[in-house]
Amino acid sequence: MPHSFPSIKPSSRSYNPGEYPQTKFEAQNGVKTIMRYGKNRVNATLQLGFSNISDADAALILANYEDVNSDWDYVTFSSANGTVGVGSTSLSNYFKEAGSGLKWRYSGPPNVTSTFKGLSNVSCSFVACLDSP
Amino acid sequence: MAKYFSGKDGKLYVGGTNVAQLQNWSFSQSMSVLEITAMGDTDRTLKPGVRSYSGSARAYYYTATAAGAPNVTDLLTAAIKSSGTESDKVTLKLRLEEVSGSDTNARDIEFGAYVTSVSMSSSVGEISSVDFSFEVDGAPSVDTIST
Repeated sequence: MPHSFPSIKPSSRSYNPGEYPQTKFEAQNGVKTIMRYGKNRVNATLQLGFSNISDADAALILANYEDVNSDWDYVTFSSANGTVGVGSTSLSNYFKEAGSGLKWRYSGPPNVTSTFKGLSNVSCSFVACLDSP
Repeated sequence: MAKYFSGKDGKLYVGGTNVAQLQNWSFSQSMSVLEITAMGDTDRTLKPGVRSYSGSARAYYYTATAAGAPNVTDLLTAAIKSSGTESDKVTLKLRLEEVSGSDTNARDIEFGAYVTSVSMSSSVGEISSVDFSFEVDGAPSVDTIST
């Protein structure tokens, strides 16, 4: 059962589509041979930054981290959170990894920095994994 | 009664004592803001941050009696210390008087502050003055100047 990320708008977002699983061999004469192991890209990454959000919202993100990791589930994003403000459906689908078979999981715990009474900065890092069928 | 205020109505008290021969005082308030603009927003959005207050004053250096303490002694002794001694916090009250020489309807703002700079000079043909700058510690304890 996927867990929706809380409806909190990020102030920064960084996405990397990942690479194709392959091994590259380079001979002494410079000839390159590439062994491709799959047709799908893997290990896409997404970083979301939240500036001066309420402490209650920061707690929602921490709770989402616990919910997702307690049963090794995955996170989904929507235009209410991770993909808000994206002006292209195609790009939004990349950010959501819609149809790619990749599933977003936390690559590390969220980092919470208190900035002012009742306000926090939170940064989250995700990695998209290709699960076995 | 309608009234404009001028320098004639201004006073500065240090620890409850009026500073004589005051030339001017100034006071300013500022506040930092925390930006909460998020993806999808088209306009900058803010949360209120930390307020701060500071100001300055200038007084002639004046003694009321022979060998007496100067009019600015409380400010000078709070700021100028021997080695190893911390500066003192002083209680400042800036006042605009509605009735001359009276507390009636006086507009006050009072706070604890540290004197952060002192500047004195002496020149031929001029009366010596002392300039002070201060930074307020915390929020004002009395504010009848705003209301």
